[in-house]
Amino acid sequence: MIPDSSSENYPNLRYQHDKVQVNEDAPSFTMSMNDYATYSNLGLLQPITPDLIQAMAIRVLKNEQFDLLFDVANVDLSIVNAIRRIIIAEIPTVAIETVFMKNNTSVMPDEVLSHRIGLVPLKVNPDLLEYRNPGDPVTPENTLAFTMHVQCTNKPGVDQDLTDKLKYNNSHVYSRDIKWVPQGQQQEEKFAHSPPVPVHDMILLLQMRPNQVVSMDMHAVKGIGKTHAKFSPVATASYRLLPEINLVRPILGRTAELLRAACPLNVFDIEDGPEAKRCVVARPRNCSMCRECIRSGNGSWKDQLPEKDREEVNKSIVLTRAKDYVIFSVESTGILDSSTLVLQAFDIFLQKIKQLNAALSV
Amino acid sequence: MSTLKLQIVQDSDEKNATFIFENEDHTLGNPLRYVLSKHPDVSFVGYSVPHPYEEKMHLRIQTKSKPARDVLKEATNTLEEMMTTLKGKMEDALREAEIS
Ligand code: SF4
Repeated sequence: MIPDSSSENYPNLRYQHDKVQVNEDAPSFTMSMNDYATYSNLGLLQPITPDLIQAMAIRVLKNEQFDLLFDVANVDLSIVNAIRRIIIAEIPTVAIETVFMKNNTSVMPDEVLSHRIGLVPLKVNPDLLEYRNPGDPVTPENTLAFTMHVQCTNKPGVDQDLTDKLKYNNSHVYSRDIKWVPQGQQQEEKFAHSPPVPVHDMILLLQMRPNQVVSMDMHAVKGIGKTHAKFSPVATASYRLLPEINLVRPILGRTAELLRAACPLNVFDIEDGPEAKRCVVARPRNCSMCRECIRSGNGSWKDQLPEKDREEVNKSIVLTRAKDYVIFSVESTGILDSSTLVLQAFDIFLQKIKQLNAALSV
Repeated sequence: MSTLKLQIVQDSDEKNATFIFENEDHTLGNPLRYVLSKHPDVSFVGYSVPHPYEEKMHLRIQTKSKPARDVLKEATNTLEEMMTTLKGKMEDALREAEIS
């Protein structure tokens, strides 16, 4: 039930339990209400039953290799957030950890260049490598070796007015210049069907001028995002609560036209109504909760309305977000498929639970 | 990589205890807090990560009748069931999205 935002009645508890209300100044009812001891008397809360577990639902909206979008319904945010945190920080990938700088006469300091190189995503199946813990020896089982040697030179006999790329050889150093050096035949065979390379060829690492040179060896190891963000397998993994735009009373005529135009994300449409044209919420998922539609004051769309209509409009639009419905998006860096990441996150979570179970039964 | 270590600080009464999880954080703490807060026998539950540099998470449980440890065990099983179900639903949803 959507309360009339003008009414004196305090919105009821059920409403506070289900929704975050987005007001012009600040949101209300942002806390999660799931303390059984407090709310069970009001009939608001049930313990977790098999029915509630079965009521959890997931629907995939976009399933591209590196871009996954799905809806999660009837799952508490603590669990959704745990999945997000695991995807970002606890799924292993391989990244360059040590750089042995042999020569660097470019303008970029060693440590800045090394840092940039560390952040380059490497297309390596992390399962094929073991963790290298502090103090462990470097072995072909836990380390991949890479090398890069680039020297910038003049192209003889070209017009000096041309751009750098045409005037010089190797003026731009890209991630594709990082080359894998197999350590031993065993490693070479293990990675034979997909030799380690940067995910993207054309990540610009630095620029040089003639006679400058960079030359280095690199070691890549397996790690997780908790240790360093370069190991994170995602560009973003995020979720947001489903936006709901409630037109409590119909918005008609010119007001409807103005409201449709006011929304920067084109959420509203105009439909022909019985008496007049009316505003309908056509694309609620576009909504970013910018609050432009409920903003009053200088420069807002309501300025163009007569004074008496403004009050009416203020009461008519209520923005809420559903606390039990989230839109989750996982954008992979290209090392692992987005869908794999989500399933792996579940496995890691289950593993944590298993560890806890074991610790509790001793 | 780093595995969970559990330390139990039991009050004189077995209904009240603080569980100290080493190598865990909000990722496990918050879902556990949620499941426990929905447990009919729990009168208080809360978790905290006392310091961000220390890989430790504290979970405080006070119950009405059962030992805190048993209630945590029940909650762990509930959470496991939830996650297994949810994983199954994720797999189904992915399969469905592939077909259509
Ligand atoms: S909050 Fe912003 S994006 Fe959402 S409907 Fe209102 S104006 Fe449009």
